[in-house]
Amino acid sequence: MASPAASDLQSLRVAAREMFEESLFEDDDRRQAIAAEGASNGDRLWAQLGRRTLPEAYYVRASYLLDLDLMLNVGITFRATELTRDDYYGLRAVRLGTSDFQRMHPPCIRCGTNQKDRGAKQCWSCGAKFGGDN
Amino acid sequence: MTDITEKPESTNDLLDLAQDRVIAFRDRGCSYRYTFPPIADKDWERYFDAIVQTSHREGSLERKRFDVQSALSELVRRVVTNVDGYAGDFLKREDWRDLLPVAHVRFVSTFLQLVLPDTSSVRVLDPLHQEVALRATWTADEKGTMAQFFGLVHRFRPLTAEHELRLNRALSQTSVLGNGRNAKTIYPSRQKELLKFYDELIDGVEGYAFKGEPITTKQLAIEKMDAWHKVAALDQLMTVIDFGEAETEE
Repeated sequence: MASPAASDLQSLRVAAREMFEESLFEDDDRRQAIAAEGASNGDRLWAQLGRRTLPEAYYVRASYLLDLDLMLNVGITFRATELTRDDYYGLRAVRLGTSDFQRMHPPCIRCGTNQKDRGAKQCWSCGAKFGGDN
Repeated sequence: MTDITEKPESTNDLLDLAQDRVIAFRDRGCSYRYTFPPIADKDWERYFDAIVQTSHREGSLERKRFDVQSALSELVRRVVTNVDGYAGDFLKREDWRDLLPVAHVRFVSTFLQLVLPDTSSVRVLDPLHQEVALRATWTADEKGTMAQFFGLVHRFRPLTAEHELRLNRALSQTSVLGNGRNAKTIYPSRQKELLKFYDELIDGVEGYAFKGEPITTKQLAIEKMDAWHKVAALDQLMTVIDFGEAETEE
C-alpha cells in the first residue's frame, strides 16, 4: 500500500536539509564525478547520484513546500482556506530541515556563505578566519 | 504508413469536435480505418488515471518508468466504434476490440494524441488574454489522407499565484511504495491536474467548430473541447517553447 509523502514529516525534514546540502556541495560532487568517470559520464553520474538518501517522492514534495515558503517570504499572501493541513505541517517540517542545515553548515560571519564543515577554521569562500565557534 | 496533409486555413476548415474521427493508415499495402466518436472527458480521465509514472533507486541510479502505452492502447480498444479493412467477419464477435492487432492499435493510438504547438500561428502575447496555438491531426478524408489543422487557438485568463500553488501542490502529491531508500515513488498524473484548470481559465478558442458552427462561446468550449486538446493547451501555456535571446536595436 502506497503512503503519501506529505504525511511523513520527518522524511520531508531530511529531504529539505539534503536539498540545501546538494546545492552547497554541487561543485565538489560534480568535480569528483568527472574525475572518476570522465567529463560527460561524470556529469551524468553527478546528476543521478546527488546526496539523496530517500525515495524521490520526498524531494518532489519538499521542493513544492520550499517554493511555497519562498512565496510566503516574498509577501505573496494566501487565504487560510487556500492552504491545506498538509501544507501547514509540511512547511513546519521543511523549516526545521532548513534550520538543521544552518546548524550543520553555519554561515560565515563575514560573507554569509554556508560552511561545508561545521568546524572549519577558515571560510572556504572568502577566506575569513574563524576565531572560535563560527 | 499514412499520409498527413495540411488543411488550408479558411473558415470552412474548422476542426469540428462533433464529427466522428477516422484514423486511416496503410500497412503492407492494405488500407485500414478506425472510427471513433468524440471521446468523452470520462474516457480521457480514465486514461489519465491509468498512466503510470514511477521511479526507484537501483544502487546509485534513479530509474524512472513512464508507462503510457498500455493505458493508451486500452483507450483505443474501449472507445473505437468501428474498423474497416480487415478480412473475415470478426466484427460479429463481442470481443472484436480485443482481437485488433496490437501494432495497429499502438499506431492508431498515437494519432489520438497528435497535438503539437503551432509556431506558425503565434501572436504577441497579451498578459490579459494569454494565447497558445496548437496544430492537430484529427481525421481522415475519403481518400484516407489524415488532415492536419493549424491555428487552433486557446485564450486563457491570467494564472494567479493561487492557481500556481494549486497546480504545484497537486503535482507534488507523490506516494511511496515500500520502505527505505529504494522504495518506489509514484507520481500523480500531470494531465489530470491540468484538465481541472482548463474550465476555470479558458476565455475563448479559435479554429474549432461544433456541428458545423464555429465555437464562439466560452461555455461551448468548456463543454465540447476534446480533453486532450485542453491538456495540450494548458501544457503549452506553462511551457517556454522558444526561449531565445531578446533582439536589441542598435
